[in-house]
Amino acid sequence: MLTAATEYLRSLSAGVAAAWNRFWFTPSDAYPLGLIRLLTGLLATYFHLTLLPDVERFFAAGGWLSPEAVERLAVRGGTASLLDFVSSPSELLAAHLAGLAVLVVFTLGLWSRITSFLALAVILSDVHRGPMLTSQFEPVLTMVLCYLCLGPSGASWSLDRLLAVRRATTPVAQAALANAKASWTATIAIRLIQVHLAMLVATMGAAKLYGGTWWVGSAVWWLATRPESRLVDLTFLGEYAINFWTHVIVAVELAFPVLVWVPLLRPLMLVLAGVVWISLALLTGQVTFAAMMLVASISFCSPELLRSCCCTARRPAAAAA
Amino acid sequence: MSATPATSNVPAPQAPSTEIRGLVSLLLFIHLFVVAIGLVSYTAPSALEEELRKFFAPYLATLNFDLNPNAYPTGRFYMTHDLPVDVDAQIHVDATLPSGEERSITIPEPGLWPPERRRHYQAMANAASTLVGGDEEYQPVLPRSIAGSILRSWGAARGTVRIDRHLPLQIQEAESGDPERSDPFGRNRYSPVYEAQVLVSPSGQVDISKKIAAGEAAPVDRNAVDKSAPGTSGGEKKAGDRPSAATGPSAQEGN
Repeated sequence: MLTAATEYLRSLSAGVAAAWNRFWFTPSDAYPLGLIRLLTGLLATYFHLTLLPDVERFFAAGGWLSPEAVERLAVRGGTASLLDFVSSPSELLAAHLAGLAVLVVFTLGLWSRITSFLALAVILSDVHRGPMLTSQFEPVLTMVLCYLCLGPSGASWSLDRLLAVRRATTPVAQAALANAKASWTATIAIRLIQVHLAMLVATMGAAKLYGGTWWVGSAVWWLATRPESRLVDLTFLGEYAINFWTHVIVAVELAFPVLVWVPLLRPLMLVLAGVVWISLALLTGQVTFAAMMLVASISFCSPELLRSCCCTARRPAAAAA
Repeated sequence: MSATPATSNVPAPQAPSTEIRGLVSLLLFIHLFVVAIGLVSYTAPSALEEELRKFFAPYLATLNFDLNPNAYPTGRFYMTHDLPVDVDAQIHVDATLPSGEERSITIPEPGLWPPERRRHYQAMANAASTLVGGDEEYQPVLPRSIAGSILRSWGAARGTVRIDRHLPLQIQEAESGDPERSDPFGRNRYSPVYEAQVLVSPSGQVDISKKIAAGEAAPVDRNAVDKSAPGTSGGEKKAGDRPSAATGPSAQEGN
């Protein structure tokens, strides 16, 4: 009996270790990572840019959001921001524009290994300096930016790639370049985005079930009747439609973290989740949040699929040109 | 589509050495454990989860992985539980300038563009409204900071700051056909939950003295407006239907 138990534990640990290594360390194509970097960079730039007109009003010495007020509301101690070191309007503007330049360079994929860390620092500085200006979008944005630092996010869809292709004139250099596109660090980055996203969606679903409105099917009504936030007025919907929509949101958020790992169901879950994020954008006006969830979901798409989609999109454009 | 990152048609690159794999695996395990603590403690953390979250707070907060970093929820991932704080809010600051001119500002200001800018202002107003329903200690923090700054920029020595919650329509109100009842921007839809007098000393010191707070305000009686909301979460609220404002996800932070 003891021998059988020992043997079982040995085979279990060997199986878990092999699966762990296969999951995290199988070298993979960095193509999806490059696409995620490009789209995340665009959203990060947009977020940072929209703070520009108000940076003095919010963050200057004597501004609306004094450092003391922000510190006071941080229940577990404040977090540092690069903006803590500047307070005059001109310094703030310069720091903000420098951050904007970093984000643009990161989005274009130039010096990606360095600019990915700098982009994360810029966005975290914004978030930590004014957490009361943030909502659901920023935690997803910083999550993806954080993991983009770990992988070769500039290996595709980037100026880095373009420059490397131009430099690689010999067959040896071209072979090395092809090799550089696939790496185990790309796998780590993609896997972390996948796992963190699945956990986050599970948290969203569980948090919804903590309140009665999502159980009784009225939550969508309470979102639709917030005229300041919503994108479109959907209060014309009947009660059954409201109930159905509410239940679908919860069902998808609870199913996604589990079923997205099943290859056969993955496309279905990604489409359903996409519909839910877009519908929540219409209901709540959280367009950037929905866009960020869609971008993070790209981590579940295979490089082959993304390549074929992008090639299909490029062909008509080239033909038109 | 594949959850296994595919290798495409590129030559197989080197996998990491056993030593590197071991080290990276350890780091991955620790990281994912801490991330999981940050996420599972979002809704209703146990004492153990709360302690673990406090322990890992520097890591979680620095990377913005803590979904409850403040005395109020920033990202409401539950979207709504129809709690009093799950509505949009407005902050009004009014003052009489030394010249006698009356000036006021409403936050979010109308016409903000692009929409993302409006989202920043709305989030700030909602944070101030949420704090009103929580710990007394945190209630005046944002009104003082915002109104103090505005009054100083106007050169005003005193003024008032008021936070209104924009109450949602019940489904029957929306369907009533009566323009007064179904107007989402009608006057009766705004409920003042906090009002305070703000004094700015010549040295720039800001003092705030509260006139009303959430519990003392007389908001529009939603039950009186309509008692048959969809399900049980609207007009006919039952104690067991939903968590209280003080115990909803994140709302307990800082209490």
